Amino acid sequence: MPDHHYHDLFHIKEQLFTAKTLYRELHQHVQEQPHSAKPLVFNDVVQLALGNPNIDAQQVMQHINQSLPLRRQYMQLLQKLAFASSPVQAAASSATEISSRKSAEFELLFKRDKQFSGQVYVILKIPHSIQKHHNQGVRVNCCSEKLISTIHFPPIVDGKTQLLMEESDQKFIHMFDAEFAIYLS
Amino acid sequence: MSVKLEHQRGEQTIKSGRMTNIINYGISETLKALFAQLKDTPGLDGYKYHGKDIEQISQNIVCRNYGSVCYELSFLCWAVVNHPAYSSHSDSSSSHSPSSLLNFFWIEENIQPKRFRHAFSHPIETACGQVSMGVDYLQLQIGDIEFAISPTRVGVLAVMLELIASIEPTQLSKIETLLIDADKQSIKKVSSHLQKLIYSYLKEHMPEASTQGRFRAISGWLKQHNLTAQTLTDQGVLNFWLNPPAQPSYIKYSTVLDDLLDAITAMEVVENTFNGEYALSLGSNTEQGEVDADWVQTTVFEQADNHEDLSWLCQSPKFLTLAQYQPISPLLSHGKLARQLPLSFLRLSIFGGWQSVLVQAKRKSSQVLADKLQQYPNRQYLDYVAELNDSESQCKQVQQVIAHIFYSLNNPLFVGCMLKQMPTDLQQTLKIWMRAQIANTTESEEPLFLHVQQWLSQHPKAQKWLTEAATLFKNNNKEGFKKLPSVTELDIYQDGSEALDHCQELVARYLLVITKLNDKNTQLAEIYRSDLCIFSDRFKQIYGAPHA
Repeated sequence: MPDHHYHDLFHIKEQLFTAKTLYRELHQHVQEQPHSAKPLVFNDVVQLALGNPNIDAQQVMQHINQSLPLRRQYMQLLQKLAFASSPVQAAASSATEISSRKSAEFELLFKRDKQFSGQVYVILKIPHSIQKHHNQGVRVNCCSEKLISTIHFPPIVDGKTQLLMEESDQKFIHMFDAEFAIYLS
Repeated sequence: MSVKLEHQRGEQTIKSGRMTNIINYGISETLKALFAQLKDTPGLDGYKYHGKDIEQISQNIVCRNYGSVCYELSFLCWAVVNHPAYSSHSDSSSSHSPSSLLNFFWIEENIQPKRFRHAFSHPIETACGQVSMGVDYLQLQIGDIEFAISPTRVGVLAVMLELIASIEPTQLSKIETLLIDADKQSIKKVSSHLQKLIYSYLKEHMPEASTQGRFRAISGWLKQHNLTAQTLTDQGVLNFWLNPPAQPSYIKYSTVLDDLLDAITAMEVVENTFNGEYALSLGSNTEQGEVDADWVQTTVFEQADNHEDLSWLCQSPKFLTLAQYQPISPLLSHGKLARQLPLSFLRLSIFGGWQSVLVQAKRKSSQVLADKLQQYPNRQYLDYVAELNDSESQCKQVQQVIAHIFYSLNNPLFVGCMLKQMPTDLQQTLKIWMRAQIANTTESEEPLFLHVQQWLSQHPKAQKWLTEAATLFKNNNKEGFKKLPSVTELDIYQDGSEALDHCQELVARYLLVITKLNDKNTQLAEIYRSDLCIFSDRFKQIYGAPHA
């Protein structure tokens, strides 16, 4: 067989080997990686914005808070998909803490626990809630330029749902910070 | 001439890489994790994408054969973007945020055949074209171009779109803007734009140089030892692992086995397929001397009886548990070569498994590694054989359960599963009877089902088998078997049944070879004892003898 025939055949064999080897590697178990290093697919971000309870919210959020483009993308999705929202409050006073958030669709307020100082009941009222809020609960997203936090409330019963939280919990603080916009999904 | 030069350059690359002491893998961890995440990402109900569809796209990607998928996807996106129910014409923010694609593929998830058909149940007519749902296909007419998309293909195309959106989310708005009211030329432009995007992503995440180096090392070694696909033996595989070529450095037994067998399979296929003239024309007629990617994909994945990843069998419906699937996996991966090299697969299971433990231990500490080096494997060759026996009988049982599902839904497909598991005499009688029925009637499937049912009622063995199938179904509480599925979901059960049949046959044929090898019931135990010394010594060499 002439030399160039040999090399052409060699090249074709090499290509078949390459395809098969790459395929095998692609499906090999991914090495242990820290959560933040594991990439997201676009659908993960959409599902979080939709309030799908099957999503690993903590992991997706970690990604979102590490990347400005992802944060913008998530905000854009929330604006499109959220059930209700409450914008950043106008900075009327120097203090940014507010005692409740209200919109036409929902009300978010808190009460301090009388027996245990430092603990608060956060109450979310949705008078005209939709079916998924009864089945899977409500996701509350708190968004600022630099940070987004998200918290899941249990299913709505009789128009409301509540969570017991630590007053020092950043997620609690964000919910009642006038500089954070709120999106419910 | 140019091919020869390239080959020489490749050799230089191997030499210059001498400092590296581990195999440089061809796929980035990011791309691997992205595919793992595609399998895990949730949807409206369970996982969003089916393992089989992800599988298909992964084959397109590794063969760099994604051109036609991008082309199909561009037509599908055109149909969605110009669909009045999804169109973003009226959305003032459409140029910045995707609407129609997001709604169609992510929020409504119209990617299963049933939902897809429903989404396109009304014909669409716009200034630039028409779309209508036919019996088998969604028909598109754009200018003088006709294009058809099967509802069963949409799942695969959706995986490709997810991949694109995950690589670069802004692409969705771009695709929408380019496709609204677009003509066929613009659709082609979108397709080539998507191809370029994937090409440049793969350039970074799937470089080919390292796999080419591995192939050159193996073919050089085989030539040096005067071995071919037909003459490679278990001892040859072991020799390679004990005395591998200098570069790239082969440490893991599993990599040695996979690479050697993948290489000889590739060699055998090419030598059987091509004569010199044809190979030359392929090499010189195509750009950059590449062989047609579609041919590569068909040859590696569709024509071959091996290298299939059927791990979707462990997904939903859960046909097999991971523990039942894993022993079969290497056999599936290498097909008939497992029968040519039976001992290599016993070694892979037991000593390859031990080596994985050592690799894990090495990451922890030298003490843990030293401990694991002292502990011999807790499984022997006969344990692997027992696991395969279990998996085989499970494959058989689940097929019987699937037959029950088909039977309960009045679908004659159950006969296929049943026939395979009936005694030969009954099989023959039923086959002859059915052939006569089919020849004599042009009636639809339902009366055929009733006929078969009546015929079977006269045969106690068949009745017993069906009763047994019903009991097995009742006792199977795995996902997808808790209750009868609907008729529209039967496709995946049929696929499952075929895949299980393939697994069962593969395992049975392998076990037959092992039984012959162990005909005195003592040989496997002897080989194991001898192998234990060989592997234990080599592991001590690689990972450092304790107290040395």
